[in-house]
Amino acid sequence: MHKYTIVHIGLLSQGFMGILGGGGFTLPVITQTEVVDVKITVTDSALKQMKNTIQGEEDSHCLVISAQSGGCSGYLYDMKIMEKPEAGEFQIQEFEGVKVYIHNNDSSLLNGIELDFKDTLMGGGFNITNPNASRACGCGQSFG
Amino acid sequence: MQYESSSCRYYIHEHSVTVVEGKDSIKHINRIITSNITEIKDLENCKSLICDANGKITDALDISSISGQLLILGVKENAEKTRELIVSGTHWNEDVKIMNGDGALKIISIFAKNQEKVSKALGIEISTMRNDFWIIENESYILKAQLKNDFQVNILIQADLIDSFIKTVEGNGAELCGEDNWNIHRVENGILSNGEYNRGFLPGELGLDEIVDLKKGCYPGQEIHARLESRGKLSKKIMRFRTDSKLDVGTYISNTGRKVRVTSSLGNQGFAVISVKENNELKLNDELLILTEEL
Repeated sequence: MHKYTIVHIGLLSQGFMGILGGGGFTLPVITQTEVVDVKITVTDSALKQMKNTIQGEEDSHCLVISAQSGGCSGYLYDMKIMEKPEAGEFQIQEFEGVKVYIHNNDSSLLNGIELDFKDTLMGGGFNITNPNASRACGCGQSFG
Repeated sequence: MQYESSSCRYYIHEHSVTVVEGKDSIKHINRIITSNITEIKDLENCKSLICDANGKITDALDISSISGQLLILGVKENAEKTRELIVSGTHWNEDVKIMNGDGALKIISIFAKNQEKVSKALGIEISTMRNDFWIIENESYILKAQLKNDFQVNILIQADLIDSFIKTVEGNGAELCGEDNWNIHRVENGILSNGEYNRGFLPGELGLDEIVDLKKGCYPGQEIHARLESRGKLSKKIMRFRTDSKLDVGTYISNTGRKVRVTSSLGNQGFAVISVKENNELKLNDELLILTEEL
């Protein structure tokens, strides 16, 4: 689906596991380094719902879309309306005043997604179509 | 085939070693694995699996909580893929730090058919040790393994301390065990290896249902595992076999026309994954294969 570069960026300075090492025993930290420029699309119905939800708080709040491990297919989507986080590690796109934040760590997983909203009683709510996903869970929350 | 029954042996493993720390480390790892470690206690060791979305095993793990960190031992051949999964799925807003312990930490197994010999080699009494919990002894961590036939302890130690440790256990009567003797010990005691874990089997096919928790919520492969459990339709199982002729690892067709996958072999005994429809005696290339025990 995508490729990660994993590099050792430094040594942990603290001792490891109590007596197993005591002072000076260090292990290399692994971080994800691949960052791509994110571009997402938002359908009219999703934008309408985002504006309704965030109405009046556009200056202080934003929508954060992220991915985390888990779910039936490997990764889970996470969406939150929250106070704007420190922008340093985020890519920000604005849709008619509503800001969408995506963390650099999620950029390769979420680049190209389309955010939609379905106003139905069964299976309604926000829905993400992800071109990076080779499979998705039936509930729509998980992809891989 | 048996190793010298009076001897006490030690074997140095080649695991992948990952250390995860941070207040969200348990939550993060728990989302990936088949078992539930949310209640893991300090110094406790839990077995678990990582599966793909089709429910097939991609790694087998020993996860221990040690002084607020998670020590994750996996199959060496799967290290890169497993770490990619762990790293790429870290949530931006969670406190998780992932470290590579390959080469820095080692696991040594000491085993014998006589418990006293293991205690003597290690210099501590192992009969009173609890299974599944590490104890701290000098500069190492020691875990008692529960085996079918033999007695075994696993020692977690810094790689740079290994020489002095080996000198001590050798001085106490333990002998270095090569790959062949380790495999004998492994097969006799039902210990699976990458020969089983890396063949795309489902947990139930390797007798590992007990480390799959279908009530913990979603994890990769959970849908498949839940469906299999509710329908009770596992088609394969792993068995110990013996035969009079030499049988190598590989895939064979039995006299009933079904596949027999030999995953570990000592020559005339080993593990094979077979159809649940097979009887306990079948023929491969006109040689009788006796299936002696389900793992």
